[in-house]
Amino acid sequence: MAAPLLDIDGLTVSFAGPAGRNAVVEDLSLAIAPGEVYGLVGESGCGKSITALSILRLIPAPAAHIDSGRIRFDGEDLATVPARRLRQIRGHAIGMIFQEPMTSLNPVFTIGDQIGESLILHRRLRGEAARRETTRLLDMVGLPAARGLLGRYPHELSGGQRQRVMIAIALACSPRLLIADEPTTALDVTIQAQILELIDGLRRELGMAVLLITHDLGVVSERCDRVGVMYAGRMIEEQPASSLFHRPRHPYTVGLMRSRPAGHPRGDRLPTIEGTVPPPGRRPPGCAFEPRCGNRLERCGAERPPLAALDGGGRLACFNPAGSAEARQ
Amino acid sequence: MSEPLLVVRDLTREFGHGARRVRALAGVSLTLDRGQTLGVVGESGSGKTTLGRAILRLIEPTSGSVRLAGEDLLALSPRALKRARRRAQIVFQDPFGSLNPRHTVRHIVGEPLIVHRVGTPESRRERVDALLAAVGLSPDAGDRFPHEFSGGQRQRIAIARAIALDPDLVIADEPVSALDVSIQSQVLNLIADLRHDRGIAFLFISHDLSVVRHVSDRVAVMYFGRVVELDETDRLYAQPAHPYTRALLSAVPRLQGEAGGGERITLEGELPDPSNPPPGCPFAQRCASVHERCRRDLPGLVDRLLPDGSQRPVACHLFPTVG
Repeated sequence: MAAPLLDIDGLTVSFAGPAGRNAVVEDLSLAIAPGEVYGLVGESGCGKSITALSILRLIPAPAAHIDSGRIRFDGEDLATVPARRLRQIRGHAIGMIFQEPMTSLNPVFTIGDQIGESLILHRRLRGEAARRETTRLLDMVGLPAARGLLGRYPHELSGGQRQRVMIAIALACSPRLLIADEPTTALDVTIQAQILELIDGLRRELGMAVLLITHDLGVVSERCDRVGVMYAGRMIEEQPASSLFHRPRHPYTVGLMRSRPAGHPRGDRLPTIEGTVPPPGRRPPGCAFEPRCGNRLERCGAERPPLAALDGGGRLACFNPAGSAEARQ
Repeated sequence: MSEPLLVVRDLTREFGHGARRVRALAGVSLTLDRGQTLGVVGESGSGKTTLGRAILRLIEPTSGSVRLAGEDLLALSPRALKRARRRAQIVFQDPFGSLNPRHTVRHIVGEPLIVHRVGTPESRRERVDALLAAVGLSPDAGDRFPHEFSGGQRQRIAIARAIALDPDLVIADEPVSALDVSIQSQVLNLIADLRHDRGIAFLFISHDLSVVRHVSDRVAVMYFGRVVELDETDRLYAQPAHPYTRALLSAVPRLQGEAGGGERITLEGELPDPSNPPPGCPFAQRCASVHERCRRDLPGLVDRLLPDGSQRPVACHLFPTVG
């Protein structure tokens, strides 16, 4: 890979709990190249959103804390840069959009004001220049400003329109990295297709990299170049999308893919992953997936499998992956 | 043939007054046989949630009729309605908001039995234990509170409550949409078991097309308060006719190598303004196959001839009506 744009190395994030601090993200490493779309997938509580928020230090301090690790972005370590420098990067070199556009937009300011704010703060545009740029951004995200959107408030827009406004704000300063945390989860499937198409088009046009966080394997399969799968705070598998979906190696990844109703004849019993994800603070000493794993070996309960390089690219943390000699027995 | 379990005719619900009046449900007709599952798919604003609630009169319909096991639900007095609701229960999307946090699981699951004065305290206790076992919860779950359970387990509790009175019909409104995929498959298997073991009919409302395909015998596609297409699941998914159904199926994200819904059709625009609906087909402004007539006449949901010579109720002028 060319020099990465974002290089997270050994990130551990902990939250204060009743019985001391619990690590929610543990020893996480991932790198994203310029212009690459990287998908981070996993179920509720796996730490994917905390990872995304940690990049811009948006985790709720002091309850949450980055215990260790580096987050290198374009030569700077975002985990340690001063808050002032971080404010320059947020919304400028790195844009971010969230799942619920209603709660990320300010209800008492118009759409025009909110897009303009970013232009004024980061690009020092004023008056007519700011208004022209705002109009251009709205056009770019498929919201013709002619509709009088500039003077409207967030509650007057549909969910799809609000997410387009969020994207316009995130793109106001032509970021080199867009972090999109479940950007389409609250939207209908036809609107989801529009928004993902829009993000992809802008990526090609502007050459920005995208970190796409989602629980939807279908979205990842269609939109991402590489995919990381998280379970209980750790990266357990990472592969190019083209190989992951044809040959998933971690039993958890296999289970997730098999649980989807789409791959089964109508009415068939669906394969399940029995049990539940261990919460932070109660994760077992070995592999966190071991209690639910059909491929488990004796050593899996006591010893944590390291995230090791796979032949042909990618990384895997499993002693007995799908398709290995032991698993076939 | 005997009458279907559920017969809905021209069900309409309007909200608001005067110029701001909105038709959330605009003349929906459908039937559901005993033990069968009818899937209802549609996006936000399609009216699918209003449909589920209007059938049970949790929202009073403005007009139309609902017959459940031969009884006209809209003509019933409040007392008779309460009795009729024993036959029909509802499960909601949000397993956090639909369970009273101050009550034990035993109380929540047993409450319908108390409300409808079924059995004695001892027999009710046994019944609740049996219900918890039927939905895959341990017996000690009864003495705990909802917050002690995960989302999937809470949805099992809501399902146990829904089947407590042996209903003929369960209306399930997005029952697995808030759940992770590995938990979702557990709850879908449970619903399949209940259908099989207890002969419960389901009206399964969801925006998730692959989930609806998996559980349903027949599927109704809703758009802007109307059913626009209705057929047996396999036929509908193999050959969607309405341009909206085609776009909807094609928009579902798929894994590489997974059977597809054809070439992706990306729809422009969104739903029309419900307080100012267009005169013709509500989908006309987003439709790639739109004709002059579509902007003028509203196409009815009637049997129409498909290109392969078969027939299907579909509300689209592209297909000639039959007879």
